[in-house]
Amino acid sequence: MKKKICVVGLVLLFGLFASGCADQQPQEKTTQEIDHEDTETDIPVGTETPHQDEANENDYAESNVTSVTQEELDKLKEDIGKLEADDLGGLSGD
Amino acid sequence: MMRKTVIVFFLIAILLMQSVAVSALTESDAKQAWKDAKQVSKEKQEIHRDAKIKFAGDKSEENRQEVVDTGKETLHAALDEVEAWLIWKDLEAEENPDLPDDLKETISEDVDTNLAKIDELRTDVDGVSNQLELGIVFLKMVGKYLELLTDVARDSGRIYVHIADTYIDTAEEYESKLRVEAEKMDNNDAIIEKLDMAKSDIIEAKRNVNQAESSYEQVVLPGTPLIKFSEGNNYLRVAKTNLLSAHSNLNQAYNLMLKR
Repeated sequence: MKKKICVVGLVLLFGLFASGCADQQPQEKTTQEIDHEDTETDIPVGTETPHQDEANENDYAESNVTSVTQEELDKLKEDIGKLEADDLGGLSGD
Repeated sequence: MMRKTVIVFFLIAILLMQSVAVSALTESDAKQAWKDAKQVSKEKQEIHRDAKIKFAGDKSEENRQEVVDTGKETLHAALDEVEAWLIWKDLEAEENPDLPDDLKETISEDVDTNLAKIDELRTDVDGVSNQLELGIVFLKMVGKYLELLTDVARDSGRIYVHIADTYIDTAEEYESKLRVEAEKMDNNDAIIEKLDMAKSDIIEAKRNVNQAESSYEQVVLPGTPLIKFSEGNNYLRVAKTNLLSAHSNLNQAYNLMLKR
């Protein structure tokens, strides 16, 4: 009986410790982080055919502006949107 | 002996569960807890105000006691609000990887100092037994309330300014890069116009963030710290609008460039 209680207690302690460690997992990226990852644009390789021209033009245009990507602009907007400044409540002496 | 062993195991388990629960509190949870506490504090103040009005009309002993009881609840609720706000601010700073370490440390120290003061104030509130004592403690609390908040509010303002500055830097970087690309294009008037508008918005955002910073630095005692904090927040909200407008113009310029 004594042994059983010790074993149960140890299992309980271990389980709680493990769940505590799980809470210490690296935080997800905060919304304030700026993600500067560049996206890669796929440029078709090989002989170009007429029906591919339009797609290729868009790819060329996008690769022409790869210094800034749509994803980066979207991320900036998302971050700005979360900029909040909350006022504090007061304590009236009335 | 057996019983003691069991009791010790359960105590250890309870202690571990508490530490797990605290570590599980995220910044957003803490922020919500503060908002809830703020709402409760506001409600308690209204109830107390009503009790005083009722007592003014009928000075019965029952109404007198209600003033004291609601007054104590108001003070405890205000302390709960401050405590929740300090905990949130500490976590907010801790969870932000972009903040400089010295700013995080300053906030952490200021929070710890003020959390300790809250416990002392709770004791004062619990000791109130009549209207006179309530009035004295209330006056003390109004001053202490500001003391509890001022340093961390000023620190928070510095955080907001730091974060806003990083977004301004990013917007400037994007504007500059897009402009270099746009200037190589023919018939780029529409694109350049959008980029000029974005640049103008960014300049305006910078001005407002500087104004916000100036207000936050005036969140001190003696003075009007909550008013200055609110003023800083207002400038920051305008800066946010400027940045969103800048982003909109950058995005339009980008899309025009894609169509070329």
